[in-house]
Amino acid sequence: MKSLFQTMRRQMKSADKRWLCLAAVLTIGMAALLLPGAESQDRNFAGSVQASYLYVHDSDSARDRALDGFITEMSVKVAVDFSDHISTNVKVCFSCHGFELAMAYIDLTVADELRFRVGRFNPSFGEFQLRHDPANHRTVDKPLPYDMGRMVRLREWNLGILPAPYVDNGLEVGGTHWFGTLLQLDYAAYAVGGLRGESDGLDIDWIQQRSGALYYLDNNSRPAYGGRISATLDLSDREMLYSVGASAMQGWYDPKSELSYTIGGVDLYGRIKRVELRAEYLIRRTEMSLGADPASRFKYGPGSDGKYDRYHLRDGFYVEAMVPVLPRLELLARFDGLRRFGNVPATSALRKESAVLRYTVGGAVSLGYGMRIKLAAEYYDFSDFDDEIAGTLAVVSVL
Amino acid sequence: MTTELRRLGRTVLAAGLAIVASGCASQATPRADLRTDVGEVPANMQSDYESFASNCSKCHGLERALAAPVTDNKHWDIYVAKMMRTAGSAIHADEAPHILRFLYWYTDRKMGRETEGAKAAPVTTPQSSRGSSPAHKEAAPAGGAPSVPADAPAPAQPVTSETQGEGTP
Repeated sequence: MKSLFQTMRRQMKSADKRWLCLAAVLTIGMAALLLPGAESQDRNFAGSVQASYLYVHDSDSARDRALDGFITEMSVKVAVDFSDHISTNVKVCFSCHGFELAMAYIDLTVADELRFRVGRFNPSFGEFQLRHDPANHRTVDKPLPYDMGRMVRLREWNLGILPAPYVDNGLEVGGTHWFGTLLQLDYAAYAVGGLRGESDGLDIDWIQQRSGALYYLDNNSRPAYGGRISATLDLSDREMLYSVGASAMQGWYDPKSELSYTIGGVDLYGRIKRVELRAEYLIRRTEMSLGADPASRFKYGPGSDGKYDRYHLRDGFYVEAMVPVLPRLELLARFDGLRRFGNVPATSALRKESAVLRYTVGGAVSLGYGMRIKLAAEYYDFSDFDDEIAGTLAVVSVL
Repeated sequence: MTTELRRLGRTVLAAGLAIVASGCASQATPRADLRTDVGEVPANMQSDYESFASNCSKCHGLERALAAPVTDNKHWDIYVAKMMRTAGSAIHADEAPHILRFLYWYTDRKMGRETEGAKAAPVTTPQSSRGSSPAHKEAAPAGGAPSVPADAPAPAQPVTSETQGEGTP
């Protein structure tokens, strides 16, 4: 009886939230009707191409633990402004997954403080995802919490905490407001399809997330929710700029919407004279399906209470500094890491507590007119595997 | 082998910290060293260029703007307005005219419209939800005669924007 009550309560909650989503879409429609009509069309074309190579030292082939080799990434984007209140953005990308629709959304702007975004977009989470295009980064690979497949031991670790760019279907409400001339406050809240996984999953399945075979739809009809708030302090007179932000997201990744995940993050950006500093910390708590026979499913047995823990936790961070040293040369140093706590599948090479730290130094040389060469060397310090040295080289061009 | 790698890792980290320390100690203007594709910037545009370089390089390389296929300055009104709304852009209404003035000048020079851009620099900037007009609609008088000198301080009139878009192209 209690179980039935809980099921009904959960379904009602889910239904309430879905009605909330529907109400938000209707609100956007109403807002669009109240806004002035389209006056003209201003089109802007942008894009980038990046050709890179990942080299793993001390091995003829590291394909068993890394995607070493050539990778080409491309993006093209068209932005159309119909009026001061309505605009559309469409972006197509090509990389390891083939062609992907990275953006297809409509923005309705009522005021600086109130903007509606609906379609397929990057939900506001973290500072790194604000700069989602590869041409905007000074290294080929992403910080470990956002790794999308370039890290060594990517399969054992199942990538980062929220691989970037994270793109999803849904709607977002946000805005920005200045307090005086020093403080900018930004905020956003969204409902999106959410991350995906198997019915009896133990973790998010990032291939499903990007696979059209399951259609580009929410796999469980239960939206994921999240938001971000950030503040920026502009002290240009003192040659300083600081931003601090916090993000959160919650959803269910299995088709039955029984397995939950919660992601949180804080980020810090600072610019002091010539140096840019970035730091982020992300944490994800993921529910696992125990299955009919947990003893054969997991590597470790139950706790002292005789029960198997349904959750595993992973967190990660990066600290990064970048400084221009010559008119065409910028140098970068990054320290990042990942940890994982909790039971693992019986076949996993990880342990109940595993960690990886990575040290990176690199540089970017501008060749002029949108061309840039990126070079970086990385040292991986694994808790469960041999340490590794890797290098990345890329040439990137903006279109 | 592992010990050697750890030693290498520490060396790499130390090198990174040295880079940071040298950058913090420098007296150079932030980001202004990245003057790669711009060429010589006139003295009266220096502060405008530095506003552009300082703000725009926070999210993307300066080449993103400099290599953009923009020929009409009114496009910059729309685009800078978008950037003002981008989370954490730190582009305040008071600063947008500086960025626009540089972009006008750069685009005009690229298109062979010598000096027109600097003269037609925005007196006000993109349309505000609070009532100001777009710079390109409130154009300078015919012939491009400026209503303020090209090297005058940025307009004091507050600017906000209406057009909306995602953060970086």
